[in-house]
Amino acid sequence: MRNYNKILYSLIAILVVYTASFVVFIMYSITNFAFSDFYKRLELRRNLAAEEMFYGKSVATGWSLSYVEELNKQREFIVELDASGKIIHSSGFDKKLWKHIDKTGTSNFKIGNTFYATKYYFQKGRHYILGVSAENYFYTHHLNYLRNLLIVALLLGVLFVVVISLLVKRSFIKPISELIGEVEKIGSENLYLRLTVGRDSGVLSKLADTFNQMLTRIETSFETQKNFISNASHELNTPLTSIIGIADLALSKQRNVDEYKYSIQKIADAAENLEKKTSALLLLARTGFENNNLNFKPVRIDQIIMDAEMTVKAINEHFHIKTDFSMLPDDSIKLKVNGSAPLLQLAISNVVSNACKYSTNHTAYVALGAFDKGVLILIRDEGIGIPAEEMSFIYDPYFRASNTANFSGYGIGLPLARNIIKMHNGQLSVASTLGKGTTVRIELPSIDSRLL
Amino acid sequence: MENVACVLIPTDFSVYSLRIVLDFMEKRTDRKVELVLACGYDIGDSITSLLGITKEDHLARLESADFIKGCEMIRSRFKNNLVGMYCDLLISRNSRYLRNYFKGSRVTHIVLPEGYTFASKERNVFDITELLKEHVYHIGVATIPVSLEKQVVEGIDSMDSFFFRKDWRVSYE
Repeated sequence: MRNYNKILYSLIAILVVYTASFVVFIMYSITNFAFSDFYKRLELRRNLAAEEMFYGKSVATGWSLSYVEELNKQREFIVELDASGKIIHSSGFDKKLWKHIDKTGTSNFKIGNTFYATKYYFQKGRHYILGVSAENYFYTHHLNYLRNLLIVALLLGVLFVVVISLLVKRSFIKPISELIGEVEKIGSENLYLRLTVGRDSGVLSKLADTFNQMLTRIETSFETQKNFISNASHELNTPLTSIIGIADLALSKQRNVDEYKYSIQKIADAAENLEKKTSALLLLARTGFENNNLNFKPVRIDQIIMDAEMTVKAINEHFHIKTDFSMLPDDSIKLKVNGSAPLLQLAISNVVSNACKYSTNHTAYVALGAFDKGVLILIRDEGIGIPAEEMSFIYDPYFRASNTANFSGYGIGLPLARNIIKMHNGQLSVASTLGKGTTVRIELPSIDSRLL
Repeated sequence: MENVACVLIPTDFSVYSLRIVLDFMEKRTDRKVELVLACGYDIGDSITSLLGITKEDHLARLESADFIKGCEMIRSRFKNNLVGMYCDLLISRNSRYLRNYFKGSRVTHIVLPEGYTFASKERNVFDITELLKEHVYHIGVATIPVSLEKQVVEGIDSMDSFFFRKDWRVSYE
């Protein structure tokens, strides 16, 4: 900041010096012009006076002193000299001028406000010095006026330069200070805050945007880390419940071998499911530390949706999923997303099972489509919906809407799904009407087909 | 270009109105088509707006992000049959204008939706379905009636109406 001020002040100084020298230059050149112009006018009058004096009026046919405008306090004087340069006789001559006068040629000089033009003449064997003096009205009045004008202009100019520079400085510094203020507000407890990105696509907007992207990454990792234990318990609970249930059922009475085989098979399936979930959770935990894109591979999103549906069906056979694949693109490359299949499956199965859980018909409607830069997954239910005033809390871990008392759950699935989608640079948004249903929209960027 | 049909489909720039496009495209798969999504628009008589605001500006304001996504999805869904797709504005109700418009834009077919209520929140937008019905003989372009399914999903998300249109394709039941 200090460096910034230094640059600014030196800039101001340069501008002020420039303005001042400009003013001085104007003053100097105008004065110079006024002097030389006035001397010319005086010389003209002196020559006319000389002609009149030496040759009489009749000789000067074209010109005469009486035709020329009388200058302010114009006076002529004549001095007659002897050969040694001594004054013999003078008329209208002030002796004080003697030292200024060139005794053998012409001389122009100025004493006070009075200007003099003199010339030496040799006429009929006599030596004369003839001079004209006058006050320069332009010099005495107009130049003073100009000088005052320039001083005022200089002051105003300096003021203008200073004010404009300070304003420019403020307009430069202000967005940066705002950015600093906003960044200072963000701490570990309010990582959801984002910087305001300006409408213009300047450097600062880009900076704010980059900051926001970084914050999103940090928030996702932070939340994933923070909620890992709860996520893990939440995800592991379902398969464990089914394992315990099947085992209890099998042990409740004497069974035949086939029944035991069947139960053990079921338990093995559930354990396999558990293992898959554990590895997905481990992946989720790791993503907090590592560059999460490293583990990402191109995956087909329709395959993931089908797998997720299978998972949901396996957990609860009362759940129905109706899939609308009518908008699948002709070109299957548009369905490829860069991501981790187990994580995406975890996210989608969470959302789908929520949709089934919170609707009376236990049915979720899933649709998939591909737009130019990504895929869009819509998961819709005709369930209880979310109260409008609670919409802003639904992504908070452990938050459960006020109308979910009759449904078991921990309020972990949706935040987890959202974090996973965010990790994939996607977006998850929820629209809901109380009593009518909820629609979850997931948008994921697809792989640029040029890169494949 | 011989066997490409240029089809004009009325729209009100809502995602729901894209169902007309979907219904039309699903019924016709034999021939390549180019789609023009059009609606009526009063550009007004202010000289500044006539000089300074182009059709693209008006369109950019009318097309919502979801509408554009819907169009992109239709394009990727019918990539093999759909040659091109663009939006246009009809700026007058005058029959002479319509005739010249259709001559200039080389539209060969018009889709006339049935059972669709035009609903645009924009003040300047007007429905061209009735207008086209009225002037269809005058214009001299073939018409294709498309009747929408009566069933309307009351969408919560604006994309709801785009999907889940009719008989569900049920999987894994």
